[in-house]
Amino acid sequence: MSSAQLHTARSGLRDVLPSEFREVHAISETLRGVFANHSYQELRTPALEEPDIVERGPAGGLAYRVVDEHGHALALRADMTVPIARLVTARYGEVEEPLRFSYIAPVYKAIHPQKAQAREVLQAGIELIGVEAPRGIVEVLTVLDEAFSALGCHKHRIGFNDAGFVANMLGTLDIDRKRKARVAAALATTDFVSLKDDLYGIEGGRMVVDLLCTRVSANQLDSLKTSLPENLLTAFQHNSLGDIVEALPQTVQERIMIDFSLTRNLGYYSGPVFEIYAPNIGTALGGGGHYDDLLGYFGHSMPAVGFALDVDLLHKIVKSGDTK
Amino acid sequence: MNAEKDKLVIAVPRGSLFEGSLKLLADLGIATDIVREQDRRLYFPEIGVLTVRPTDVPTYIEAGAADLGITGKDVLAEHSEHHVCELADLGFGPCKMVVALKADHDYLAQALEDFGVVRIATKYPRLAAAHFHRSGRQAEIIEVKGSVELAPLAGLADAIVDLVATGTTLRENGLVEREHLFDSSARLIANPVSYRLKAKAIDGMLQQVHKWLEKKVNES
Repeated sequence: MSSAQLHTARSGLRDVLPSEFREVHAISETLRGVFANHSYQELRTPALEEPDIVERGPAGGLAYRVVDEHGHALALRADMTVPIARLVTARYGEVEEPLRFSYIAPVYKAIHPQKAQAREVLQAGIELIGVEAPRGIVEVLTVLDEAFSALGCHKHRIGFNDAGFVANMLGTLDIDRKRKARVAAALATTDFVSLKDDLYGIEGGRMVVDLLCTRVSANQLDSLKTSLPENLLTAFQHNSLGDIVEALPQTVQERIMIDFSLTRNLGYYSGPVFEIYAPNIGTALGGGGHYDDLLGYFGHSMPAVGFALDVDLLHKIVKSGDTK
Repeated sequence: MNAEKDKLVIAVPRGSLFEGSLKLLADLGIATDIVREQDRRLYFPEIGVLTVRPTDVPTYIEAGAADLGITGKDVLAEHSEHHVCELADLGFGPCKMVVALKADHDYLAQALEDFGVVRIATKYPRLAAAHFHRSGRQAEIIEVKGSVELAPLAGLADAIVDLVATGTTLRENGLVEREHLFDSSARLIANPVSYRLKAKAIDGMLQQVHKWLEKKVNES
């Protein structure tokens, strides 16, 4: 008998064995079909990027780094949106016709130990470049809806907001920089207790906090608007949230749940943002939104919108049968 | 998370917040008697309650194993890596996070003068490290799991960072509070997905909670 040490993958990483592989592959193929039907062309980018490029994305400074044979640092991509933004600005220059790309690829995330989080996540998504809101995000959400239908999943909801509205709302309040920073931190950590502590005492603050705590379905949006005071109504009309919801197909509208506190703290989302939720899954299945400024960082400011889905979570839902 | 639409599962902390939590839930119309009666049982699906250690509440909530939970602000502050929604300050279990040391001498200043670094014993290593870092004092954090007050007496540390309710334990061990970090009390938290998918049920419960809190204020 040999006493060789047995090796399994490090915590947060796992082997995908044939039975699971077949199921995940089938899901990937279904998604590919839907993306292709809408003229999204699949592409691939390197898993390793320049560290300062990866740092623009959700990993920030926490990206995995490797050192090449010359001692130079490289980083593992933490999402596909940033690499695609890089390649679009480098290779397509000024975009005249809209670009449509899709991908199914692993991305790499820093984890907290002992929380059963995945370091390697298989993501499927699309990016639409060169189409402004509301048209761009309406298209992307329509593709998302079709992807879920094609998988036979009908229980998901889409949390939706315009990150610009949060800024506009807070802009109606007379608060100093220090308090503003505290409020931003409270929003980023969904700490509504601190938010109340900081804003309830301020003129108009209570109204803003109550609105930030509001989640409504799309058909409740009109009645909500009539309840807003003048300054908040003006702030609301200065962003695209209402227009986008109105322009969505009925089937997508029914899935929308507007949450005025939703901002997705990935650093690059500038306007409309969304997350996808399903019952019995404790984290979002994915999300997306507009990231116009990110392309600006790489050299050409352009409207851009997309989403990414966690394929392993989709697999979990399909397998659970909790879909109808 | 419970499969049944809008039925909520609540994580209740055992320990010092246990009584207050059960009382709140009872006042909200949840039949919590069986939780008291069956002391060793942990899971009560019939009333949508599970009981866990306070420090484990954010873990269960973040993973979606429960929709709502009750735990101390001290736990949330120390374990801020958990992504949960903090919905309400429940008011009960009031206490404060403090730096305490032996009453007879300023051992913190002494240690800084003699060695340039202080030794701090605590159950809250991140909060303690952040507090001393903010004030520009180098600190070596020694993590202990309990009976923190012993550390300065036995010479393990120069001072402690700990949660203090009445101050009796500090006094009985000859320690005094020297610095105040923040006030803590019980908080109602939610899983971020439940917060959106079960918005109606959670908002309904929150309304009840706010009424309960108002009544408390009026009574006192």
